[in-house]
Amino acid sequence: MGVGYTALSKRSGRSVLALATEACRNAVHDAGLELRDLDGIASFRFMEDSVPTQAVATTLGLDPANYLLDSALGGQAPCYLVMHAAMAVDAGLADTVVVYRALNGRSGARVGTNRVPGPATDFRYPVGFSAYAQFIAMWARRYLIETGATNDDLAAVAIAQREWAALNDRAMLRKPLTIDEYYAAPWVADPFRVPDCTIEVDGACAVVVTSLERARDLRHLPVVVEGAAYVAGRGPGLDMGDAMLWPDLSRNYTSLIAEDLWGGSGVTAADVDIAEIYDCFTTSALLGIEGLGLAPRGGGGDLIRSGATRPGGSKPINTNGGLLSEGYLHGMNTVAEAVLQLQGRCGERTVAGAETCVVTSGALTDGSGLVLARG
Amino acid sequence: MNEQLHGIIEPVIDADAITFWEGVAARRLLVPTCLGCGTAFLPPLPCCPTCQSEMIEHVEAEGTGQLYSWVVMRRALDPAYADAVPYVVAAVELTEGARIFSRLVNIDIDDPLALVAGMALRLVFVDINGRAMWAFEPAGSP
Repeated sequence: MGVGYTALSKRSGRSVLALATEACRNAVHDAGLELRDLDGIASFRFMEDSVPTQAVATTLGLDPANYLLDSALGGQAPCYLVMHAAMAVDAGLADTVVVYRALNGRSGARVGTNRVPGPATDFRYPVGFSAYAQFIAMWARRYLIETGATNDDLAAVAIAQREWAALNDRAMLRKPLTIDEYYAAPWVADPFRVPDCTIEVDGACAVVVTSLERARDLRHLPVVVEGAAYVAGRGPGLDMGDAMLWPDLSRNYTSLIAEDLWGGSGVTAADVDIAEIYDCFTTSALLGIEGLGLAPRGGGGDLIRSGATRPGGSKPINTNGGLLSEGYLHGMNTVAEAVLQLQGRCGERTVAGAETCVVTSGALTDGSGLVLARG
Repeated sequence: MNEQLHGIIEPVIDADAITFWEGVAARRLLVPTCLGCGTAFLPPLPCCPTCQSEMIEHVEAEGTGQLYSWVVMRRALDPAYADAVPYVVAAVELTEGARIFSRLVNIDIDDPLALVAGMALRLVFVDINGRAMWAFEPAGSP
């Protein structure tokens, strides 16, 4: 696997197509491949905030493309699309596929405050429940109610991940965060304050998927997909903000995916070296950590306060600072960080000797996950 | 009870939800209920999400429920609600079994003890920009 980024910024001043093209080109070259080796592209976009894969096939000159996959998904997609790309390679549909996410998520349409579309919106918008931050906040409150967790636990996530971000020159937010600063920050949607929320950015990120046989001849250590799963629990809703039929807002899809993910990989929550958990909001990280069994129910905050997840800890989590600190590329960068860690390419934040990493994508009723291992 | 609230994004009513919204206009909360298995559900769907029967009846809610979760909005994330803040939007479990999102009224937003999970709520209708809308208030409200 190769990984490519553009710069992350608050105002790229560039087209989304330019961002997508650069990230994909960087990822291909990073892998030690040439653009002529590429014959597949997969991506996702939400509210038409990105460009279709055929556009990137055009700019990168694929001749021909044998596999182009576009999905109308948000943060559920990155692990899912890497899984699809691996299946496409395994099935012989394509030799080498690049998976990207590209958007002007800060200077363009902002998902955090925009009206997220869908067939259940009439049951949210007219009551003043229209923004993504509010949807997750509703889940967050129920999580606090059910588990007895408090805002101290949310703060712990934000503070610990900021420690990682200090070691990541790509991160948008690198200044240490204190608990006093956390509590002094303005409300976004109570129980969320500003540090509970991801920072929206302009930028792109891409990951290259190819066969293990080919990967062994490339520049970096291969990273192998040992386990992969997607799940939408019963009654996932009519659209991304709909949770009217979801039985328990204190548990998301990660509770349902854990068995498939771990069972398929042979790796367990106890012995996985690193976790990169989707964290558009602080509670999303906690639901993921607990859903996968990395901590007991309601125990995510304690795990973080123990120091285990922080730099130098025994169970590093969200080692790029997460979406909370690096920036909101909807989890594509969460996958990319996992790859870079297993290849030992994260500079001073590299987790020495890490051989396995679990990654998740998504925060609500559906999502996906990967267990990756150094090849 | 005829409280005035500020700010609404107008619904764009689709075919599955016409009966529900006719009820709201008449200040009645009509809950789609499956004649096959008895499941009460929201939002309205073309069939029952439990048994897939298409025999759906709209049953008027008795107007009671419990507070399941809530979000306190102290600043508007959408300009339509700029004049509405501060306000509370809640997930309410209707006694009939369906969950609905709703504004809460007659509560003191600055009182941290005003809202408790599971507290009993009562349906009221409010006027927003000339449109009748459902809301809930604490069951003990005067």
